[in-house]
Amino acid sequence: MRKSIFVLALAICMLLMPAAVLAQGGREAASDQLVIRFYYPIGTAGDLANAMNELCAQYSAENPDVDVEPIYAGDYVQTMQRTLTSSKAGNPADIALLTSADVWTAVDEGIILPLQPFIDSEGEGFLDRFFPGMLYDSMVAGEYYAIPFQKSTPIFYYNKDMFREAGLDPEKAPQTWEELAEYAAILTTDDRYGVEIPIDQWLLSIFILQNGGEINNIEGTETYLDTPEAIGAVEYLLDLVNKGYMPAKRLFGDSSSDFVAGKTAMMYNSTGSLAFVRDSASFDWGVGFLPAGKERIVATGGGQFVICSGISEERQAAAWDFIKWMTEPAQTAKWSMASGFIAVNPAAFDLPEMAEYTAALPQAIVARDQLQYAVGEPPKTHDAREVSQAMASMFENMLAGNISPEEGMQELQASCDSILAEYN
Amino acid sequence: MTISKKLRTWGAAYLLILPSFIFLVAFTFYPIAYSVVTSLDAASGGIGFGNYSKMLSSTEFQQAIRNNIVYAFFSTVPAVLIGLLLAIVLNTKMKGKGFYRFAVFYPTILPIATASMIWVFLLSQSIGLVNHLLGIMGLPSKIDWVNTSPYAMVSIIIVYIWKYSGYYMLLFLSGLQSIDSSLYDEAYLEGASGWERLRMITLPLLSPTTFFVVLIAIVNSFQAVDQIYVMTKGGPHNSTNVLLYYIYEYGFVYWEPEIASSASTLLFAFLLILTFFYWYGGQRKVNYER
Amino acid sequence: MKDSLAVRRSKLQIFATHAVLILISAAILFPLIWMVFVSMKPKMEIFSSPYSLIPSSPGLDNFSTAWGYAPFGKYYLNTIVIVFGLLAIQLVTVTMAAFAFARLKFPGKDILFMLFLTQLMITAQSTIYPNYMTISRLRLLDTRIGVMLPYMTSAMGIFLLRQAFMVIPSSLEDAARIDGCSTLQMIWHVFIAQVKPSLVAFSIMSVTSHWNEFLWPLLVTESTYSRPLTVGLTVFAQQAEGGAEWGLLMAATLIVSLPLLIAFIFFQKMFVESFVSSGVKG
Repeated sequence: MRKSIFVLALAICMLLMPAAVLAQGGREAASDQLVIRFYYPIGTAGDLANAMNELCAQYSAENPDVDVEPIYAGDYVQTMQRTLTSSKAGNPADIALLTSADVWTAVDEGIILPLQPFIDSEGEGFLDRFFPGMLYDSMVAGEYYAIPFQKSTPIFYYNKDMFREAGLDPEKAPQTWEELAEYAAILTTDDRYGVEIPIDQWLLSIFILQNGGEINNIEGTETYLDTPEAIGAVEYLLDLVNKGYMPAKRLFGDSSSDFVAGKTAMMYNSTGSLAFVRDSASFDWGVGFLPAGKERIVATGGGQFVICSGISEERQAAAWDFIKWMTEPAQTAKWSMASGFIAVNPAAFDLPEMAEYTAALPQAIVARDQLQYAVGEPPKTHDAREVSQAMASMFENMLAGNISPEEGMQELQASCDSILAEYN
Repeated sequence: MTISKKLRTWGAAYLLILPSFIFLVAFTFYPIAYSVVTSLDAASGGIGFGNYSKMLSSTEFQQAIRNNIVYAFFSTVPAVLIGLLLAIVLNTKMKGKGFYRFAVFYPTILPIATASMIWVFLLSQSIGLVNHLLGIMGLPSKIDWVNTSPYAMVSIIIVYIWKYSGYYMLLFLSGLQSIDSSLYDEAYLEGASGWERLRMITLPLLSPTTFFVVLIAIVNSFQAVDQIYVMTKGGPHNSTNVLLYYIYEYGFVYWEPEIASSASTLLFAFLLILTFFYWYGGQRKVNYER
Repeated sequence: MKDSLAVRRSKLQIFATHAVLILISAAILFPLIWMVFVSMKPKMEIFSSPYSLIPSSPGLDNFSTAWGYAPFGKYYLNTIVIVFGLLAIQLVTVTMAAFAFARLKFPGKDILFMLFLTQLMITAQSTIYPNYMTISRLRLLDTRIGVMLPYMTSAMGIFLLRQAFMVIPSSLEDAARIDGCSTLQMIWHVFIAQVKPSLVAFSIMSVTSHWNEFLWPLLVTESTYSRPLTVGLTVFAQQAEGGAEWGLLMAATLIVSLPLLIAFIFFQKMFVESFVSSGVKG
C-alpha cells in the first residue's frame, strides 16, 4: 500500500509539473533587458492598442537594453485602480498614463515621483516642446508630477445637413450661449434633440469658467461652486433641458452614438471622438469652437505620463527616457493620427504625414486652434476623483430636476468642503 | 483489522485528502481569518469594532445592503417562477422539446461578462432594441436604461432573470422527474382537475427542489458582481451597488482593506448561515426520498 | 418519464403550451440572434438603420477587425491553458479526496468533510481581496498559475465524486482484490471506470465556470501573457470618450462565447445532466 501511494504521489507530481510550467510560462524577456511596465488606458475607439504596441516596440528596438511593455489597463478609472493596487501591493508599475484628477490622488497616496529633477536634468527649455495650455494638468499645487501625452479638449460638433434643412448657415457654428440656445430651439424635432452635452465635471466646469466663475484655488484645498456664476451656468443648462432641447443625461460615448445616428443635431464631445464620427457618420458634419459665455474658455482633458515611486533609479531613468522619446514630434504625431488626440508637441504639425492627415480631416485643426483658450482640467484639488464624482453626480441630479441649481450647488459646495476638510 | 493496517489506512486517507486540504486552507480559510483579523484591527494589538461602526453608519454601505436585498428579491422570485413554469410545461412528451430547452438554457453557459455586454447594447437608449420595441407598443421609449435610476437596477435584474431562469427550469425538471407518475394516474381517475393535480401533487412533492433552487438563487444574487462591473459600475448614484461590488470597490479602487474586510466578514457570516440551511435541508431531503 | 394518463392533453392545451413556450424562448433566444446579426452589420448601417435584423450587405469584416484590434489569439491560449490545466489538476485532487471520503474510515472524517462543505458557498468571488494579497506575496501576479491557484481543488467535485464512489458495491472491490489487483490498479480499473459519468459531469461544470470566470482574472492579470478571453473582451470594450463600436463588440463577444455555445449544441444532453447534478445533488 505504501509503495502504491508513493507511485500515486509521483504520478500526481508529474501531472502537475508540466501544467505549472505551462501556466507560469509566457514571459520570455531576455534576462539582461530591463522590462519597463507601462499602464495605459484607451480613451477612444479604434485600433489604439496596436498603435501603442508599435510605438513601444519601436522604442525597444532603438534601445535594446530596455523593453517597454505596454499594458492596456482599460479606461482611465481602471488604469488608476491598477496603478494604485499594484503600488500598494508592493509591485509598482514603472510608468502610467493618468488623468489630471488621478495625478493629484496619486500624489496624495504617495505612489508617484516629482518630476522637477528630471526636467532640470534636461536643461533649460525642455518644457517648450509642449503647447503651453497642456502643461497645467501636469502640475499638482504648482509642482510638476506628470508630462502631457494624450490630450483632448471638448469641441463642438454639428450636423451640416440638418443645419441646411433648418435654414441655418452650415459653415457657421453657434458662437455664444445665446446662439446655441436659438439654434437648439430651431433644430429640435420630435425625434431628435437640438444639442447633447455629456454630463460630467469636465463640461460643467467649462460652463462655470465660461460664465466667469472659478472652480478651485491653486493649492487645491478649496472649491468655489456656490457662486452666482456657477449657479448661473447650471441654470443655463437646465433651461435647455426643460425646454426639451437637450436630454438630461448623456455619457460621452452615448452622445457620439446619438450624433452619428442623427438623434441630435449638435453635440459637445471630446476631440477624441473625431475619428469615430468620421468613420461612422453618413452625413456632412463640421466642428467649431465651443460657444462662448462671458468668456471664451475651454479646459483640456486626457492623460499624462507619471513615474511610479518605489522603483530603482535605473528604472526611473529608463522611464524618463521613454517619456522623453514619446513626446518627440514623430511619436506624438503618430499617436494623434491613430487616436484623434491633439498632438502635444506643436512641432508635430510641421511633419508631412501630419499635414496629410489634417488635409483629410480639417476638423483636427479646429481642435488645435482652440488650444489658445485652454486651461487645465478642473477640478484641481486633493481627492480630485472624489470631488469630480460629487460634481458629476450633483450635476446629473440638478439637470434631472431633482434639486434646484441654487440648493444643488450649495449642497455640492458643502460636500466638497467636507471632502477637502482634511487638507485645510 | 490489525492496528498497523488501520494506521496505514488512516495515513492513506490523510495523504489523499492532503492536496485538496492545502488549497482549501490557503484559499478559503486563510482568507476568512485574514478578513476577520483585518476587520477587527487585531493585527495592531487590540481588538476594535471601529471599522464596522464606520462602515455600518455610512450611507453607501446601507444603500448597498438595501440594493442587494431588492436585487435578491426581484431577481430570485421571477427567475424561480419562470423556471418552475417552464419545467411544468416541458415535463411532457412534446414536439420541439430539445429546441425549447436549448433556447431557454443557453444563457447559463455564456460568460455573464459577455452576456452583460449584449444587454448593454440591447438596452442602449438611442439605438437599443428594447426601447425600439417599447416604442412600437406605444410605451415610453426614451429610457436610458443602464444610466438612470431605477432603470439601472431593472437592467441588472433583467440580465439575472434571462441568465438563470433556464438553469432553474432544469433543476425543477429533474425534481419533477423523480415524482412517481402513478400518483397522477390515481388522481386523474378520482376526477382531479389539472390545476388540482398541480396543487395537490406536483407542488408539495416538488418542495424540496424548490427549497434548493431558492437557496441557490439567493446565493447567486449575493455573488453578483460581473454584470454590475460591466453594465453600471454600481451607479448611478450608488443605486446598483451591491455587497460584493462594494467589497471590490473598497478593496481595489479606494484601497481601504479594513472596510473591504469588514464587509467580507459579514458576507461570510451570511453565506455560512445559508450553508447551514443547505446542509440541513440536504439531510432532510435524503430522508424524504427514501 | 413514463407517459401517464393524466398528462395527456387536449389539442387546445398543446397549442396553448406551445404559445407560451415560443413566447418565452423567443424572448430568451433573441439576444443571441441579435448579436449574431449585428456582428455582421457594417459600421454605418448600425447607426443608420439600427433595427433592421438582416444587414443589407452582411460580412465578416467586424470579426477580422476585432481579431486584429486585440490579441484574441493569445487570450484564447491563456483561457485554454487555465481552463484545461485546472481541470487536469482538479481531476487528480478531487478524485483522491473524494475516494478517501467515500471509501476509507479515519478519525476526523466528518469534521473535515464539513470544512470542505463551506467552500461550496464561500466561493472565490467573496475572498478576492485576501487571495489577491496572497498571490501578490507569492509574486504570481499576472501569471496564469496565479489565476489558477485558488481553484486547484473543488468542493463541488469532491461531493459529486464522493456520491458516486459511495454507491459502488464493495463486492466489486473484493473481487478485484481476489484477482490480485494492487490498490492503484483497483482505483483505476474499478473505481474510476465506475464513476466516469460523474467525472464527465464535473469536467463540464469546471470548464464552463472557469471559461466564464471574470472578476478574479480581471484583478490578477494585467497583460496578454496571462489575460483570459472574458477579461480581454471587457478591456476591449472600454469606451471612455469615443463612440461605441457595437459591430466590433458583438463580433468579439461572439468570438469569446462561440466555443462553449458550439459544445453545448453538440453535447446538450451531457451539459444538462452536468448542471443538474451539480445543482441539486451537490
